[in-house]
Amino acid sequence: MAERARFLFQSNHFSKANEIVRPSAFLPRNGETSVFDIVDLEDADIRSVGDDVGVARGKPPKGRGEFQYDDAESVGLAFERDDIPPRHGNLVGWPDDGSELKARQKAVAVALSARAVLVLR
Amino acid sequence: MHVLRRPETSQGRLGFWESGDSAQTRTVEPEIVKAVRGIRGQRYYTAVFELIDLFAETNNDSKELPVDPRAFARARDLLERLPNGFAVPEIGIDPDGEIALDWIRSNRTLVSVSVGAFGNLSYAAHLRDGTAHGEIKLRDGFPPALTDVLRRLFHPA
Repeated sequence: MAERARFLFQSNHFSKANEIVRPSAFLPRNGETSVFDIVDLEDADIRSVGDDVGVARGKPPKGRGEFQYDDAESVGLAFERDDIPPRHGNLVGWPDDGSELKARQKAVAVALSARAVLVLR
Repeated sequence: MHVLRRPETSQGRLGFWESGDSAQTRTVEPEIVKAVRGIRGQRYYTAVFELIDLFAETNNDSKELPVDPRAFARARDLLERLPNGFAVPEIGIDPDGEIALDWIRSNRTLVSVSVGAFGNLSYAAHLRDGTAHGEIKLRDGFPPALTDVLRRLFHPA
């Protein structure tokens, strides 16, 4: 069972043909990427969490990328839980300075893409 | 807000049109039009429709950053130079508004390139024989560093 989920609201954030979450979906905004703790949740429960997130956006998620916490940790990221809303947290620890910053962030995102599992609605 | 839509007809040419706040339809910024007209054949149509859908989707989502038309122009430049034998990438938008070009294989190996407004390219690859990343400037021709990672993606040793 997966432990974390990144909800996907844009079709260009995943590849249906190749069944993969695209790196853009994981790249940080303001140094963090919003994800949810889905430990011990069934599929219907995860969808419900996603639908709640979608209310603020005015549309439900098109899918989600699921991964293990170890997947994030293995690429240098950590999950900082804030429970706003419940089960929410952020992936932090992205490269944030130095040369080739965007490329180094992309290297992390690409590695996470290769590990994550795409779940479409 | 500008909402792009697929053109109904255009005398044999495809172009972008938009409906803005006014009811009158008018052409979009020349940069965007130029960004897609240079791509030929199947690559052209694939890229054009992806770009149209992408623009429509992004511009309808207030959570997303507006896309810089210059980034699309630079993405066009890169696509035009794509060597034969490499598939057309999937096109997307990064959180910072750069254009993302992703070449993905079914075995979960991939090459991702982000194209900025000034021709700055950031790439990362997850390949069978390892990983690679770097930043380069789009100048003459297709960047050798990208040729290398795409060759490793599509023709692994």
